[in-house]
Amino acid sequence: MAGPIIWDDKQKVTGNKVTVDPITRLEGHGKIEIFLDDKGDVQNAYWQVPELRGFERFCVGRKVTELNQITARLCGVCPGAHHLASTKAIDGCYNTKPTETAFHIRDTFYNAHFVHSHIAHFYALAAPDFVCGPAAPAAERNVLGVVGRVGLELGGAVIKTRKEAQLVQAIIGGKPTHPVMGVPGGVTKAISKEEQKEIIGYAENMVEFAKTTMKVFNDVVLANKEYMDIVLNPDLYYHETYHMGLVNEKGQFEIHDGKVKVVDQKGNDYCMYDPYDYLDNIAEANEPWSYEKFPYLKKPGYKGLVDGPDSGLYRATPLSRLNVAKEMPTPLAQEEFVKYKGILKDAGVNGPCQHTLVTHWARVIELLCCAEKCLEDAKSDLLIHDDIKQKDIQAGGRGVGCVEAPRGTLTHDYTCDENGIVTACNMVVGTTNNNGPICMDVAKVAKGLIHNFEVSPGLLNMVEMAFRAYDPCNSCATHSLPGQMPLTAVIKNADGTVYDTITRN
Amino acid sequence: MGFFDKLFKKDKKEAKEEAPKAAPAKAAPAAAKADAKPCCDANGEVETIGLPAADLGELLPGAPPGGKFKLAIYWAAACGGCDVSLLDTNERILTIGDMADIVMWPVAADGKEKDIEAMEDGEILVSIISGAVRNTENEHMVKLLRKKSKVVVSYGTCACFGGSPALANLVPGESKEILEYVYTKTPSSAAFQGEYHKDAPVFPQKSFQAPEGELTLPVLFDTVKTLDQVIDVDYYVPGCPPLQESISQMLKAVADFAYNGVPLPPKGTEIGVTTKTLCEECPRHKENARISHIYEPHEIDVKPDVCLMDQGILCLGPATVGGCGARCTKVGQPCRGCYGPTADVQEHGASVFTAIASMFPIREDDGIIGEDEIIKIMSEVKDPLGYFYAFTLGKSLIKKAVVEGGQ
Repeated sequence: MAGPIIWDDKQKVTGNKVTVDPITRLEGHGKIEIFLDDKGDVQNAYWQVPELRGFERFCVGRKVTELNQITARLCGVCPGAHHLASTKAIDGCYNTKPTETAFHIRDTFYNAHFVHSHIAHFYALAAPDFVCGPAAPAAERNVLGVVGRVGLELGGAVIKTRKEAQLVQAIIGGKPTHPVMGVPGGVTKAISKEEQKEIIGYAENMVEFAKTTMKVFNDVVLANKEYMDIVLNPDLYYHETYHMGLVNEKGQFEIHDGKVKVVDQKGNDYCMYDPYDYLDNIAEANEPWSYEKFPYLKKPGYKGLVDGPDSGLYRATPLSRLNVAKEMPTPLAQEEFVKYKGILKDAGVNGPCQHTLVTHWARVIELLCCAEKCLEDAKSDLLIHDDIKQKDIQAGGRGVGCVEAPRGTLTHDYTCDENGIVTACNMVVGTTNNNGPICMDVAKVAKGLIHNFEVSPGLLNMVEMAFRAYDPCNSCATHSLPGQMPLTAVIKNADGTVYDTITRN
Repeated sequence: MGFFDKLFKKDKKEAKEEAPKAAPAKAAPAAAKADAKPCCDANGEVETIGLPAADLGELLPGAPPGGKFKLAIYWAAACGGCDVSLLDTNERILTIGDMADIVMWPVAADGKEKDIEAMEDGEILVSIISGAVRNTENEHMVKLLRKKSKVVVSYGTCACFGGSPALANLVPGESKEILEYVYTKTPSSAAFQGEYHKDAPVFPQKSFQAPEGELTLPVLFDTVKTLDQVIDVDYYVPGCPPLQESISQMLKAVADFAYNGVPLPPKGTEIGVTTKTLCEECPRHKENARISHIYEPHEIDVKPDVCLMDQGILCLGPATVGGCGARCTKVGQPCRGCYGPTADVQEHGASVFTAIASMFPIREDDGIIGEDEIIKIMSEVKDPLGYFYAFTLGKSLIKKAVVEGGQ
C-alpha cells in the first residue's frame, strides 16, 4: 500500500480573494470566501450557507401528526434523525410517551440509522482524506481510491453493511429515505419473528464491520505520525469551545432519549437540562452573510466568532458526545473509549478534546457503539411485542423532541391545538449547532496554511477538511464518485473580476 | 466495469431470487398484483408488484459507440434525498460512470459553474435536476443547465410538483413573512429572546460589506416554483425520493438511446411510473366500505390486510400514480401522494378529495344522509389543503393563503 500524499506544490496567486464555490456542502449550496491581505496572508475566511426553505413557518397550520413526514424532508441524508425527533415532539403534543415496545422498535431503527450514516461518512468522505491523503490526486480521493489502497474485500463490506443498515430501517420504517413509521405514542407496524431474525443477522454483521473499521482507523491514522502531528496541532484544527451532547441516566453516551449535558473548556460540567428547557439554555444569533443561524449558550452569550469561556459558542458533534459522556453503554465501545481517552491523555489532552479532526475517531467509536446497541435491541423479545401504540390519546399542547442526530443535538419543538393543528414550530438542527465553530475552524486553517499568496489544491482541500470533520449534512455523500472530485478556486481581484482559476486536478 | 461491478452482481444474486428482465423504458405496465411479497430490500429494490426494475447489468460493457456523453446532476431547493437515491443505485451509479462523464454533481463532486458556462449550448446530453426553484441561485443554475443541455429531466417530487417545501406557498406574507418568522419569531432566535440583535434584528443580506470585502447571498423568491415553471423540461421522474425501480427505468431509457440508438420517449413523458393508481399495486384488500368517520393511524388498530381507506384513514392512493411499490401502505401509513397525480390531473388535492367524497355514505343504497352529517364527516378532515396537497402545491392553482385563512 502506497503512503498517503499529504503535501503538494503551491502556486502563487495574485488578487486578494479566493472563492471556493461551490464547495461540497451541507443542506444546500455553500461557499468559502477567503480574503488575503497585501502580504498574501489570510485576513479572514467565511463559510456561507446561502439557502433557506422556511420549514418552521410553513409547518404552522399543518396537522401535527404530519410533521414527522414533512420535517424528514429537511434532509434526505439524515431523515431518520428528523423523523424520530419529530415523532418525539408529537408524542409530547399528545401528552404521551411511546409504549415500551414502540420505544424499543424506534431505538433499533435509530441505531441502524446511525450505523448507515457513520459508515457513509467515514468511508465516502473522511477516509479519502486520510487513506489517500489530503493532497492525493482528486481522481483518487474518493471511496474507490480508498478501496484501491485498503483492499477490495473491505470495499465490499462497506457497501454490504451500509445497505443492510438501510434495510433494517426499511423493515421498520417502510423506506430508509423518508421513513414513515412514527405515530404519537408508538409506531405503525409490529415486527414479526422472521423480521427480527433478519435484523439480528444484519446487526451481527454491523458489529463485525464496526470492529474492522476501528482497525482501519488505527492503521491509517493513529499509526501515521505525520497525520497525528496535523491532527493534534493546536495551530490548525483546534478551538476551545463548550461541548454538548445527550447522556442517559448513568451519564453514558446516548442518542435517542436523555438529558442535554454541556461541559466547559476544562471539562467541568457546565450544565445539564431536560430538552424541554432548551430555551433557557441556548439561543440562536444571525449574521447578515449567511442564512444559517449561529446557536450559542445564553449565559456566556453570543460574542461573534470567537472561542473561550466568555463566548457561548459550543459544539455538538461526535467529539462533543465523547467529551460529555462518562462512558459508553456497550462493552466493545467502552473498551475503545478507554483506549481513546488514554491515547489523547498521553498526547497532552487533559479534559475535553478540542482537536476537530479527532471527531473522525469519535465517530468510529460511536459506529461501534450503535452497532452493538442495534444488535442488543434486535435480540430482545421486546422487539416483537405487539403493543406498538398508546390508546386514547388527545392532541393539544407543546412537545419537545430531542435526539442526537449523527451530526449533533437535534431539537424539534411544536405546539398544537386540540384539533392537532400546529400553532408554533421551532427547530435547532444538528449541523446548525456547529455553524460558529465550523466558521472558526475554516478561517483558522486557512490562516494557518495559506501564506504569501501561495495556494495549492491540497491546501484548499485541507481547508475543506475543517468543515468535513463536522460531517455537515450532505457531506456524507461527498466524494463517492470515481474521478469526479475536482475543486475549483477562483482568485478574484479587488474589484471582483476573476484573476485566475486553480483547479485541484 | 471493474471489480466493483462484479462485486455487486454477486451480491445481488445472493440477495435476490430473480431479477426481472429488462422492461420497456416508459410506462411499464403494472404487473399482476396477485403474489404480493412482503416489503423491500435496503434500497427499496425488488418488488413483485407494480413497476418492475429495468435490468441494466449486462447492457453497458464500456463506453457507448459514440463515446461517453456529458451528464450533469444538479439540486436546486432540495433535501439531498434525491441525490442519495441516485447514490443508492450502488452498482448502477458506477455504470453511469462508464456511459457518461459527469460534468457536475454538487453532492458527490464539486460543481464547476465556470466549466458549464464555457460549454457550447447543448453540449451536455442530459441534465438531471432535483429540487424546487426557491431563490435566485437556483434559477440561475437551472437556466444555465437548460441552455447547455439537450435533455432536462425533472427529477423527484420537488422539481416535478414543488414537494413538501411548496407548502410554503400557503404562507400569506410569502418570503418576507418566512424570513421574519425564522429569524425573529422562532423562540430560540436571539431577537425573540430579547438577546443579541434585540434592537435591530439581523437578516441575511443579498450583499454585505464585511471588513475584509463583499459577501453575497442569493435572494429568496416569494413562492416555490416547480422546475417546469422556470425552464422547459423534457421528462419527469417523480418520487420523494424516486425509488430504485423508477430510477432504473430512467437509466434504461438513456442507455438504450446512447448504446442502441433507441429513440428517447416522447417529450413530456413521466418516466418510472405505472399507468394505474397506487391502489392497483397496494397489497391491501379493498372492501369499498363507506366512510362515516375519519381516523388517523394512531387512533385505531389498523388491520394489516384491509384497505386503509376502508378503515377510515385518508389515503391518497386512489388519486396517486403507481410506481413506488406501496411502501408506506405496507407499513400501515396511508399514501401521502409523493409520486403525484395520475396523468392529466393537475389538481392532485382536488382529485383526492373527489375520490374520498365518493366514499361518504351518499349512494342511493346508503339511505338518506343529511347535509349536517356530511359536514360533520368533512370537518373531521383537518388541514385539507396541507394534507391533500402535501407534495403538489407547487403545481396547484391554489397558491396563496387567501385560501389558508378560509380553509
